[in-house]
Amino acid sequence: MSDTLNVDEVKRMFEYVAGAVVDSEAELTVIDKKIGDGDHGTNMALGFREVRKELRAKEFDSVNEVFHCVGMTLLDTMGGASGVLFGTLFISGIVGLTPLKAIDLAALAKIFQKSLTALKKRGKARVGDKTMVDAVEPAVAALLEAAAAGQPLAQGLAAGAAGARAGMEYTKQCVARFGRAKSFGQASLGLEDAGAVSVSIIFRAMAQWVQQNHAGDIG
Amino acid sequence: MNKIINSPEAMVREMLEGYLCANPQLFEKVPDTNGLVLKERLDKVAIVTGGGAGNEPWNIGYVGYGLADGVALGHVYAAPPARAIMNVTKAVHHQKGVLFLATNHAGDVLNFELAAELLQLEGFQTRCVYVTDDIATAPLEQREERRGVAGVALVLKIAGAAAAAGLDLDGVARVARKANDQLRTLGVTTSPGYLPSTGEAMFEMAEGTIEFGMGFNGEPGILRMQLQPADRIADLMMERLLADLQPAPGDEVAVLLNGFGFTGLLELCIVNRRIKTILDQRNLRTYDMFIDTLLAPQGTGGFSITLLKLDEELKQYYNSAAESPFFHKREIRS
Repeated sequence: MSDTLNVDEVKRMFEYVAGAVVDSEAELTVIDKKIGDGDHGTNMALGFREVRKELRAKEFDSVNEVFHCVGMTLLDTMGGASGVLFGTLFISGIVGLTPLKAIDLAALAKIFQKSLTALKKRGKARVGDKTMVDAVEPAVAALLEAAAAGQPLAQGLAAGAAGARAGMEYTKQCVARFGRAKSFGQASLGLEDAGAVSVSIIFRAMAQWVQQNHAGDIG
Repeated sequence: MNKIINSPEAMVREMLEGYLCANPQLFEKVPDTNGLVLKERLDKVAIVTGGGAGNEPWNIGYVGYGLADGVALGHVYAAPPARAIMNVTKAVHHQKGVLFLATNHAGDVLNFELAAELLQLEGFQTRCVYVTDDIATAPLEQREERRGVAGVALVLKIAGAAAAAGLDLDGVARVARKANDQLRTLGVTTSPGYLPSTGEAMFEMAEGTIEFGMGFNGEPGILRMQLQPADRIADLMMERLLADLQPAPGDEVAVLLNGFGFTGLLELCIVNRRIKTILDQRNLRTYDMFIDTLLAPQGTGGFSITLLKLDEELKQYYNSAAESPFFHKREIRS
């Protein structure tokens, strides 16, 4: 059997991702309180609680619709800069994409690659600015590399999660150029960016779900 | 600090509902949105504003006659979602175009830009103006990176008057940008505010210290010191404001002294008296001074001083009356 996720699997994977983000509220709050305004955890939990509810309540005909539902829900419920940016992470990658009944590692990598481009353009951030881009870029690079090497989905997503995590760790070395953290200047050194932590949680949860629910299918 | 709410999730919506109960003849709620619009749809360029809740009356109280036509509210200190901005825009009279007026914060800019793009796809005419008056947040060379604070009240009032006077969309946007160009604000924080969700202090401040330019949420300011007499505080602030605005002798300035909520009129009037003395000493003409609370972060102690340099065109719009339940400004007849 082919190493792909069907519409229902993608939906269940993102339900799991939503749960993981909701469970990380306290952790994110602690991080954001140090150099932000302390509401990133609450805001992410609010958005992803709604994502979980929407996903459970709806039927989807394509993978694209699942991504669209996640992105639009975040955009509408979170507000703030995070709503737009996390919304972009899920929406921009599927703009103009033919409806897919299933995705493999290469397709998933391409979706997030396109989202990354939109995210950088919209947020005007580059790697090193201490933002979520620092985690998304290495995650996408790892997914693309794994896909090019013909790795299985579970292994590719694990590499993506490791990339996101490394990017999140890297934000500790960066001085913020955006948002409230910017005004902390050098004082932000040593602390990770809360948005990058969230990205890392999202990719880790995707990898975990596939590991637990899909890895066994590879025939 | 004891805070009187029902639940953190509901507090912004419930605030909005309570405000509407008090003013049913003036406003109506935008369906499925934390936003309201003026009931009367005036045949002119519309102004839609928005931002995070928590600094009331900014921005809920800025909807009124000679002011904004609609507002979209976000969570406390978080920008409103683009969808909320779009819903409010659709609810106002938008046939002559809509000016989006917000403060220059990353979240607000992202959501207003996104709403503007999506609305343009549907055939709406929009322009965005972001207020950048806080001199503490970036040096003069990077003015466009400064955030917006209390000065947004004056830009909105002037843009509101320009729209009421019948200017077209580009005209209203031009006047709003011109006002923003001549606008400078600096704040001093004397005690921390409290999060309405938890009652916890938003940041730590040692008793007896004050900080200039501090962010409402405790971002470091530009200068921290022991508490000083009112005159000394006003001197320090005016020195920086005037160095940044660079008015020439004889220029006319309007002054908005904005209390942060915890600081009372007794203190504000003392400061205002000193500001007038300084302007006189610098040979600047005080066109108008007013004391109000128009941007008040959750019980924070302190105040901000906003200076607006006026020319004949800006004066003409500044003179118009502005009227909302929490933002009144009488007409000035020159």
